[in-house]
Amino acid sequence: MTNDINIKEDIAELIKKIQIESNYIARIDAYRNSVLQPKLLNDLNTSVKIIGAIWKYEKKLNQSTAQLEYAKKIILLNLSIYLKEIGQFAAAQKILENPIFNNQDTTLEPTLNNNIIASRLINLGVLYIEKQDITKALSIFYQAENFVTKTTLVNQSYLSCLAKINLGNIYYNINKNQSLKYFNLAEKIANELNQVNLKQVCLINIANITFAEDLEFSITKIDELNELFKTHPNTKLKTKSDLLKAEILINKKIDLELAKELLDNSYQVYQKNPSISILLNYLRIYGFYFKAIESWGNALDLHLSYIKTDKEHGPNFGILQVLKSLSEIYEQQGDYQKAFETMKQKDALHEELFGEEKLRLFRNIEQQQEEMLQKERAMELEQKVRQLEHAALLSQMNPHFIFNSLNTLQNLVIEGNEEAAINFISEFSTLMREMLNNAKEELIPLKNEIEFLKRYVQLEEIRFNNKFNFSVLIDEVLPKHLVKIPVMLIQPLLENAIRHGLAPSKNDKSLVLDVRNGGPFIIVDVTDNGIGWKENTNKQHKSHALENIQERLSLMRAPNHENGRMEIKSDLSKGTQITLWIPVQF
Amino acid sequence: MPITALIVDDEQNAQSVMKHLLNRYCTNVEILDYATDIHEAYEKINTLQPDVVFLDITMPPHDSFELLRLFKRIPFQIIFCTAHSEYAIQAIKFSALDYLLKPIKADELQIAVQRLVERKEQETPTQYQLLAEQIKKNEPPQKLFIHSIHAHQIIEVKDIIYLEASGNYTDFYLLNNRKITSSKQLGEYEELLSQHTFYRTHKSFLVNLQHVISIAKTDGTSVILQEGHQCPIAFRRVELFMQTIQGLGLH
Repeated sequence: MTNDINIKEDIAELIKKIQIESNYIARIDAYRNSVLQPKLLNDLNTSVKIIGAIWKYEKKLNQSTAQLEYAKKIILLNLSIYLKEIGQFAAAQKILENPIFNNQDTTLEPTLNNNIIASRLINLGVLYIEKQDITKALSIFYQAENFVTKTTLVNQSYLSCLAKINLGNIYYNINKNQSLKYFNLAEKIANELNQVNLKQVCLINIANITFAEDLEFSITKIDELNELFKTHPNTKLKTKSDLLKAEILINKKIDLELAKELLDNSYQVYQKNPSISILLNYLRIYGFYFKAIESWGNALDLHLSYIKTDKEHGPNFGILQVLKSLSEIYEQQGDYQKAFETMKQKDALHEELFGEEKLRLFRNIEQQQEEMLQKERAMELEQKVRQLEHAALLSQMNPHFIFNSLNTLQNLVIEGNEEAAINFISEFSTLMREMLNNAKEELIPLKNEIEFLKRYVQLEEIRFNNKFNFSVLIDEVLPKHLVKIPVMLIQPLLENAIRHGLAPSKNDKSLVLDVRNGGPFIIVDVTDNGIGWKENTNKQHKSHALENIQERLSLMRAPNHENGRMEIKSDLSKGTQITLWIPVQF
Repeated sequence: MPITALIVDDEQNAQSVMKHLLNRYCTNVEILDYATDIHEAYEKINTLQPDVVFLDITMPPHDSFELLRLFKRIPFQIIFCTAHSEYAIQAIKFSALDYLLKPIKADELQIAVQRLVERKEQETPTQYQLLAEQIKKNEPPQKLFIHSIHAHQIIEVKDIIYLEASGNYTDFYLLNNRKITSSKQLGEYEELLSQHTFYRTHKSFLVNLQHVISIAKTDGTSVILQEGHQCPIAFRRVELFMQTIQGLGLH
């Protein structure tokens, strides 16, 4: 009863603390700290009560549901980490499988959502590793890795490093080389990120993998690790590292006194910061210690105690080793029956965890991943080729226009029309200069493009000795100097309209360029009242130019994920209208 | 006697340029009239019967090849005019016909007109048929028209084993032991065939790499070709030739 009151007071105090934080993200951090307070979180019930209280409080504050849900997810993630730490694997998993994680609130910033998805996958994978379910763990971490590399996330490299560390853990019992490869990769990322904590995790694992094969190398890694602890203390990792060092010393029978000292120190740390993995390591290695000093009774007790603890939390890393050692001790003591049974038990467990069936599944998942990556690499290459083609498509103006313009100029000169020739040269060179400048960019301000197009049409009028009624309509909503459009996308449409629609037409010629705001698109209409299309037999050149535009548009994506597109309406002797939906680009 | 001409172009500027240039630089040409589209051109050719037609290639919504298809036989000479060396030019070259690039250069115009006067060979309907045939395909032309000393003929590019310069003429060695002599120089064919797999192994030899069998090192380096032909490779070109062969995956 008193306990209950205390908790209520604690909650009240916490809520007060949270209330002071006006900043939303800081408030979430405050939740996280509160949830992780060991005093309040010794059992699941209490933590649920805290969360309930915070949620109620949040509702009072009228937070948006999206933010509330985000807060809930963060709390649940942290809760599951805590539960895993204290060995409540089943409860931790249940939390991560809460349906709330299936909700994808689109009003929330996507990176926040993505971070939750990635963190959840990684935490769930870690649980499967703890349970030694290598196939589930592998497929989850492949999923995590794919997700992390493909989406925009805060801490992308950090999460990718975490995924690699865990893949290293998965391979630990299957393929030491592959495992080492992952840890080395992870260490490299940790170095780049200057994430000492992750580097420490990598170093301890590298030391652990290599000590049987290359003791010296392994010891240098542990030394490096201890150097890092001086500047970046980490009690839990330091304890793990001490335990590993003890294991190495015992295994190689180097300095058993020091090994015992390290073990005893670790237990003291464990008592202050309970962690199931440290406890299991401690029991396992202490057992090996007693075996090394031939204190069989103690060794037996510790091994049995390990097995008991392990049973409560599902199979753990060291169980096979301990069963093997236990069988050896029974044999030493002459209890052959028990020795045989223990060995059989170990073999059965090995079969279950790493048996043929399991490995076959494992290889299948590996293969699927490999195939997927290969497909992606092929797609990436294809994409690159398309980008190059795209650059080529950005093409210059139709060379026909350039040479025909020079031809017009030649005529002005031959006819002795000096003033017109000088004007033409100046307009034409301005147009060429704009074209060359624009060709360096992919996108140019709408304002510049419109100026360019007006000049172009003016030159075409001189060329065809003909006035077109050219009007430009621009939606006032569009900020002309801010909105950007792809370079040389509209000009070929005008050129087509003039060359194939208006020039052969005998009527009054009108050409309209209409630029409108269409939400995620800029909509461009080019309308002429020329001769229309069906009669037109010279399709080769025209369709080529239009295909380019179509292709370029289809490579662009609007904020709503739709691609750009083009539509053509043509009516014999009435004219042609071409509409472009250009995805808004930033 | 002056050469009579019809000018066909959909741009008045271009017609005007041609008129001025002919009046100034080719006084032996008399311009009969102008046409701005293929139907008008067809009518005027039939009524005026010009010696030569200066013919623009693209005249939307039609092109000049459609005009040529309207004639069963072509009783006039043609000089094609175009603003850009496009797909059509290649086909015109392979058909051994004349063309001018816009803006037109006065000296090139004079040479083209001069050739009309001196022309030993009359263009044949075959040339226009060949042109029409190759223009439809959007790929490098596969057939070549040759004005040979004794006869005009169309050959398949893939049948050429090699070409050898012979003074101002060029000898064609073809599959099935055929040999014909063209009145054009080897350099012109080298340029013309640059999109195909030909290699100038020597100043007098242009070899079709598709027909290479082996390389012989006796008497300097030479290349052994199908049907027992052999061409020398100039010392300086041996290395590059080997690289080219390997690059093509031919051995």
